[in-house]
Amino acid sequence: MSFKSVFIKAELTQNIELGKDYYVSWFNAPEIIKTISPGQFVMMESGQYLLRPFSVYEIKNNNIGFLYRVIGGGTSFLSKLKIGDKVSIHGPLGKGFSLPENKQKPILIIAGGIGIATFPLVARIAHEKGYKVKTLFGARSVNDLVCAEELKKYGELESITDDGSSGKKGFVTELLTNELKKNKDQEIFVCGPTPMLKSVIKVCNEFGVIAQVSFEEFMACGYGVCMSCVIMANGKYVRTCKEGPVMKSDVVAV
Amino acid sequence: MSLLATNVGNVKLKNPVLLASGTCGVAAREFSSYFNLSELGGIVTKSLGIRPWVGNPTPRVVEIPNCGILNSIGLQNPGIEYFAKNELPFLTEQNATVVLNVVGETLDEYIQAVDYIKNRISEFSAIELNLSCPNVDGGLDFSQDPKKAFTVVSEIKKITKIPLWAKLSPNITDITVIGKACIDAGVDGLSLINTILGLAINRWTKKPVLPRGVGGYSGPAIKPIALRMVWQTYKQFPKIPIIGIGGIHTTDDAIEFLLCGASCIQVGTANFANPKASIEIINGLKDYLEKNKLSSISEIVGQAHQNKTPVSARH
Repeated sequence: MSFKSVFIKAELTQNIELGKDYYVSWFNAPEIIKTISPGQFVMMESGQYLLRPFSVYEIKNNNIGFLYRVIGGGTSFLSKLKIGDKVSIHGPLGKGFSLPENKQKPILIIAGGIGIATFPLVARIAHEKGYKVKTLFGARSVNDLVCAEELKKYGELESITDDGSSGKKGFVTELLTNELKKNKDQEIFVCGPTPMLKSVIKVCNEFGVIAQVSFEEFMACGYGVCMSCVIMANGKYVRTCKEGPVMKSDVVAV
Repeated sequence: MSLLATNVGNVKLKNPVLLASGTCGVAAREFSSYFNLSELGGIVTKSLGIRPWVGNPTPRVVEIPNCGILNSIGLQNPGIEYFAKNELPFLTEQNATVVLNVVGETLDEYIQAVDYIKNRISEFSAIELNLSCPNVDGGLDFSQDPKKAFTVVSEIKKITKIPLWAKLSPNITDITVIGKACIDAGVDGLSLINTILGLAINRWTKKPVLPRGVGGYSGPAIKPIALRMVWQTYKQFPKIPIIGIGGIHTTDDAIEFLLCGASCIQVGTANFANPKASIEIINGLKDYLEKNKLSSISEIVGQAHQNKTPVSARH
């Protein structure tokens, strides 16, 4: 999909604390929303030298929202912004998820931890277009199952936690294995930490299904010019910011 | 003619602001979302070799808080043939001024790469030899040994009439020694500087962050070092054009390099945080000329050397 990305100063309109260390920050950014597609990301000024990548959580009335967990200087900076503060936002960037041509094919979302942040928008758009959507969500504990209720609006959601504090104790790959045993003919969208992505891809390979996976590598620029965020795909280093972040699971070595 | 038009030796540029090699993709294609490439003084391509280079494993970049970044990309590039067939037509169509950056592991590889395009004088305003990549084995050899620098420059001068710049490494005691070797070999301009060797440690894994250990340091923190090397080189060789590079983020930074003796400048790491940094600098330079009632940007080149050091700054 072709799109034009912009580099703008955007104003914070709302900062919502979703739970311990989880926030959603909303910015007024009609220029970015205009061309966005689900699964894309932006680079955002966050008090550091380089901008930081954030996946797009939702869009609403000219506002773009980012869901994140405060884990370092950049996310801490964002969580402390006040309404009216302006930051540079560069986007939309990268290639997002593609909905299947066959509208009867169900969408199966696999989220690990804060990887969930990219899916409310994806799930809503798929739901509105008439796709059946189901989400499998793995997180560390009950406190990390953020925006699960929101995703339930668009379809069924099953969760699993590392410590068993909500739902079953275990990893999301268990839920995926059960799901694929029932039906392999689903369009699978994956986002989460790299070790989880690798485990999910292995399960997909075992079942002979190809997933759309959103990859993450440290990126300096986010728009394809620095060559730092590469992953090995089909034997070549490709840029996760430009050829990705969403790529087919069969091109990536795990 | 625009007030910003400038000559870097025999190379005519629309303005003195170029995109630095390795900070604008392979051929700056990505920047065309934000402005017309023809608005720039020029773009310097990714370092291109006679064959494709795979590049280093990740992580390739680490941020040094408040100072800049350390990178170890390892010159991943698609090779000069791919570039000439797939990227150059786009640049020509965009009416961009193109400086071709060339790299090789051996003298022969530099020669082969330049040989591939040696007669395409209308398509390349200059060739910039990358003699100074710190992120590949032997990458600094040509920039640390004056004999090797002399040899590669003189061999390339023999095969092409395209103006030749040499991009030098700051990782040396006296940059003017290498500068002199390049000048003696007939170089048309000196690009100063490439990145500075650095290292970042991960306190938790107790290992260097980057897989090769060392990386190339760039960003705001290196500007004083780059300015010093431009200053030294201009002072010793006022006739050789200097292309200033190193931590340039703003119009003020660019002006400082010009005052020190650079005929033009390249914007590098700044592109990562702001794709429009170069255009903002060009607009800022226009304002500067108007405010100071100057008729040409070249009037300020080297001006810092004409003024006596103020008493308060002497030691």
